[in-house]
This record gives sequence, structure tokens and C-alpha cells, in this order.
Amino acid sequence: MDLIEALSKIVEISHSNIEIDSRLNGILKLIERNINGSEAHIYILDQDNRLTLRYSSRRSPLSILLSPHRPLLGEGIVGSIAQKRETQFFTIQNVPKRLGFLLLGDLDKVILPYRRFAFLPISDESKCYGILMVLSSYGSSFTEAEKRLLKIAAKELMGLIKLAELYTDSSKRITELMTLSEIGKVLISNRDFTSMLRDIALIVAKTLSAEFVHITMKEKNGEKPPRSVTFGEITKDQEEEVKKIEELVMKETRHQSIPFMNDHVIYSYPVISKGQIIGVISACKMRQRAPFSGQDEFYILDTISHYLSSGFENIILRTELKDILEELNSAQERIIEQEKLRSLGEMTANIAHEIKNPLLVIGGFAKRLAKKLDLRPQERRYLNIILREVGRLEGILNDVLTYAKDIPFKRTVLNITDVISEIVNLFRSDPLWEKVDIEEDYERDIPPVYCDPEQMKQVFINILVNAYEAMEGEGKIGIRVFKKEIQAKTYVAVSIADTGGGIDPLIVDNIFNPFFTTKEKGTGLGLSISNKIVLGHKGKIEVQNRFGIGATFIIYLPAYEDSTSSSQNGKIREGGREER
Amino acid sequence: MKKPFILVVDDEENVRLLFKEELEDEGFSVDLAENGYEAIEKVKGNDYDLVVLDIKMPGIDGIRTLSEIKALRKNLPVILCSAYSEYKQDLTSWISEDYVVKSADTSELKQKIKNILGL
Repeated sequence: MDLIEALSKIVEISHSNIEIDSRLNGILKLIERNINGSEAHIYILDQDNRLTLRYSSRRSPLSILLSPHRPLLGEGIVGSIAQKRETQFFTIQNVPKRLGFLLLGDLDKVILPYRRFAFLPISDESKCYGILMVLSSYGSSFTEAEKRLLKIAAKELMGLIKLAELYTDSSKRITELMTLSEIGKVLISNRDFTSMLRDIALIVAKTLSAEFVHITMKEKNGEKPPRSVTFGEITKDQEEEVKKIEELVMKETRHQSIPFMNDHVIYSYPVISKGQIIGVISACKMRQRAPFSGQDEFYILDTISHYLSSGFENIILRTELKDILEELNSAQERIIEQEKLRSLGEMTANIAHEIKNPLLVIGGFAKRLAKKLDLRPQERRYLNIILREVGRLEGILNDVLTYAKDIPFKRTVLNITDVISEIVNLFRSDPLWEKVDIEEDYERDIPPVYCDPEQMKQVFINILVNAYEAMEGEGKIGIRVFKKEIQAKTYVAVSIADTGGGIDPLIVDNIFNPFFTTKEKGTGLGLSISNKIVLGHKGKIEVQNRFGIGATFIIYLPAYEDSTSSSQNGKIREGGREER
Repeated sequence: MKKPFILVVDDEENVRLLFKEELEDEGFSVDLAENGYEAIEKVKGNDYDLVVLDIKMPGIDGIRTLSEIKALRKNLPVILCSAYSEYKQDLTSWISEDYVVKSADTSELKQKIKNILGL
């Protein structure tokens, strides 16, 4: 076969329709046949910047020795040609010892038969794809024709490899999209979390043809041990290995790989949500020597882990939402249940109350009979039975009626300013109060209080009427509403100051005592009841007395915070009773 | 010595009758009222030593009657007597001298009356 024929054959193979791998091998065979005593090999530059001997025209002792070694870019002749992208031809005289490799076993011995060496970059302007290496055991150097053949072959190989990469890239992309769409379907399937994880593991294993896929997801707040699922066969030892690498991923927040069982590798990728690792996805598979799928065969794990991050965020949110909804539902059911019990309790109390009087009459008169009549022992026994049973019934009714003691406080959350100003307006419109000048000074942004407005009105009226009487219907009343902190608690204060000459210091200590009065017609109950009411609201009344000038009553009520804190230490039952 | 004069206020006739007989057995004079209005009127016109007052009554209830009675005669002792086991929640009830849970056994009521009257 002459050069022209060989060249046209190369071009023909290169542009044929057969598989790219077969085309590459065909070209290598052609080179071997056209250069005496030669063998041709292709190194491919992988993404990790190492060159892998991936195609050979035939297996020779040299190729067997070289193939496990993957030289780095720049290492040995192979590495330096790939780096410099310059063709080099050597004879036995000038070829670098051991092809420039350091320590590669019996390399010296296997190189011995070769006489001519050709290294050609498979590259274009932008990128090097690999090296064409041709060695021959005949002749002393390559002829110009042979050199031309090799250069053209390298060019054709470049085109083919480029095509192959393009093809791999797009098939990668298709696989990726298909995988993501399958995972997407799982993520929106609204099933429980663990079965979703199991399905995702299956899809990933299928895509990667992995031996096993392991997914570990942290439980929120780290309360429970993380849950993990595995697809594929996994031994105890393997699981230990996976755990180790997953811990490393969690620690370093980046993907990790470890070689495993000679020709396998485990790859682990973090699943990150809002900057926090929420899980790890790992896959184990045999390290492949298939075309253009070096270490980046795990590329898809990276994409998947990113996709899962956002997917899981949604799932976690959805799960939390579901939990909250369930909690809400059960709370609602509890409230309905309580409400039922409450009305049942009220009804029972009413019935009990109605039964109690007739029972009292029966028992009371039976007792009188027992006292009055001269009874025979037998009859006395009957009467005693009646009395005992009445006593038993009364005991039951007493228990029931204990629950009915909650005399309603019609408490609501309100602004005390509204209550006091309503009272003030009432008095202002009263002609008897014509000569009383009421000054109002209400602070803005007063917190609300939880109180019975009717009772508080009673308090204000009592104090205002006292002031009116002390001033004998003429004078000035200053009313202020303000906020005050007492022992780290917020109180709403209403102060009512009059110009009625104050209270005699001799009696000021008695004013809250029941039945104490200085008025001719008074009961002495007004202030004492007011005090009781305010105490019942967990507040207090303070008196600032300036004898000869006037008195100031300050009513403090605790500011309302929320329903839970206000019912914690209250003696008074609150909540649920306001509307009665 | 004059018999202590007690007013029993209850809306149920048989209860009034029972209390009257039981208290008369103890040596008290007993007058009866069947509602709050009647009780207030009777307090105005009579010099009672003590009032036994039911709480749940039609018209004005025992609590309001209590305030009215106390307004008229603040030193007249009142014992509230009701079917409720406790009645402490009402702020006015505490101005009564005592509280008795209604029972077929009237000994507690009688004892409390004696205590208040110093007998």
C-alpha cells in the first residue's frame, strides 16, 4: 500500500459511519500496516490532566506495562508532548531514557527492541485531546512520507476524538436531563420521605450503573439519627467505608472520592440547603475504561446533589407544613372537645342545683321525723337508710357544684383609656358635675389590659364619686393614664387626683377596710370593693395623700402580654368564660 | 333574755319551712322572706339579729340583696346559704359574715349562727 492509498484509506475510515471507537482502532491498524514493524497507541487526556493509554493497534509488552500508569501533563515524553503540543520523532540514539518516565518497572527491557519513536499531539489550536504514539522495531528513522502519514493520521484522529467528545457531552446532557426529570417526578410525588429517597437512590444507581447508591439525610435539628437508604448490595464493610467518606464530606462540605476494592471507587457529594449540609449522596461503581468517561463519570452526582438540595428544601418545608397542619387540626379538635365538656359541665351544674333543694327538703324533714317520732328499731333503720342515701346524693352534688363556682368575669383585652374616658364623659354630661373641672392626660401607645370593663368602671366610679364628695361638688380632677414598670413587669396606671383636701392621716390606713366610712350615708364598701376588684385583676391601688390639698388614687393593672402568660399563675380562672 | 330574731330568705317554701322549724327548735325566733325585695323591706321594718340568705333566687339575687341589706344595716350579720359548694369568686359575697353549703343536715348552719351571735 503506498502513501497515497494509505492516506485516502485513513480519510475514508475517519469519515465512515461505523462507531467512533472502531474508526479510531481502524486508523491505528492502518498505521501499523503501513509502517514497518510498528505499533500505534493513543493516549487520551482526561479531565484530571492525566493521560490514559486507551487505544492500541495491538497489545505489546510495552502497552501492557504502560497502561496502568497515567502520566500527568508534562510527565515523560508523553506528558510533555501533550503539554507543548509539538510533534517529536526519535531514533534509538536520541530517545530519552525510559521515555522520560521515572521508575516504570521493566521499561528499559521492553523498550530495547524499538528503533524508531514518534510522538504526535492530537490537538487543535485550543486544546490537546491526547497523543498518538508510534513505535517501530525496524529501520533507523521515519521517512518523510511516513511522517506525513502520521501527521495526517493525528489530524484525523483529532477530528474523531472531538466528535466523540461532542457526542459524549450531548449524551451526558441527555442522561442528565432524563435523570433529573425522573428525580423531579419523585420529588413532587408527595409520598413519605423515605420512599422518595429510595426511589432517588434507584434512579441514580440506574443512571450511573453503580453497584450501590447510598443516601443519608440528617433529621432536622439533629434530634434523631440521620435516616439513610441504600439501593444495591452493600456489605457491612462497605457500609463502614461509606460512613467514613460521608463523615468526611460533612466535615469538609465538599465532595470526596475514595478508591475501593482495587478497581472500584466511591464518590460522595454533599446535599446543601441554605449553606447547611442536610445530607450526603454516595455511589460506588467500577472504575471504567470506557471511552471518554474517566473520573467524570460521577459528574452527574454533582448535578443531582444540587438538584436534590432545592428539592429536599421543598420536601422539608412541606413536611413541616403538614406537621403544623396536623397539630392545628388536633388542637381544634381538643378545643371542640373542651367546649363540649364545658357546656356539659354547665348543664350538669344547673341540674345538680335544681335537684339539691328538693333533696335538702326530703332529707331535712326525714331528719326531723327521726327526731320527733318514737320509732321501732326496724323503722329507725329505714329512716337511717333514707338519711344516709340523702347524704350520699348531697356529696355527689357538692362535687358537681364545685365546678359551677366560676362566677363569670367578663374579661376582655381592652385599652383602659377607653373605659376611663367613657366614665369621664358620663360625669361631664351630669349637671351635678358642672363645677368639676376634669383634666385628661392619656399617654399614647398604652399596652392593653385584660380586665372586666364593668368591674373597672365600678372602680373608677367609686373613686370619682369619692373625689366629688370630698370636693363637695367643686374643684379639679386630673386623670392620667400612663405606663409604668414595676419589678420588671409592665403595668398600666390610671391616676385620679382630686383637690378635695386629702384624707386625714389618722384614718388613711383604714380607707380600704370594709364598713369603714366617713360619710353619713355610706356603707364603707366602695373602696374596699374597688380594692378587691383591682386585686382580683392582679393589680393594686395606691394612694398618694396630701392632707389639706388633695388625694391621688393610682390604679395599676398588669399589661396584657398574651393569653398563656396571663393564665399561668392566676388564681382566677380565665379564658373561655368571658362571654357568659 | 329575748330570743335571737332571724330572717330566713329562700325562694322555696319547703326550704323556708324546714329552716324555720330547725331554727325554732334551737330557740330562735324566725321570720321568713321569699325573695330579695321582701327581705329588704323586712330588714327596714324589723330588728333582726341575723339573716340567712339564699343566693340563687328569682328577681334580685342573694348577692344584690346582701349589698342592699348591708347598705341599710351594715352591722347586721348575714350568712349566705347556697347549693354551690363554694361561692368565693363573687367579689361582693365576701362582705357576708359566713357561708354555708345547703344541706339536709342543718347542724353547720345552726353552729355558724351561734358562733356569730356569740351563743
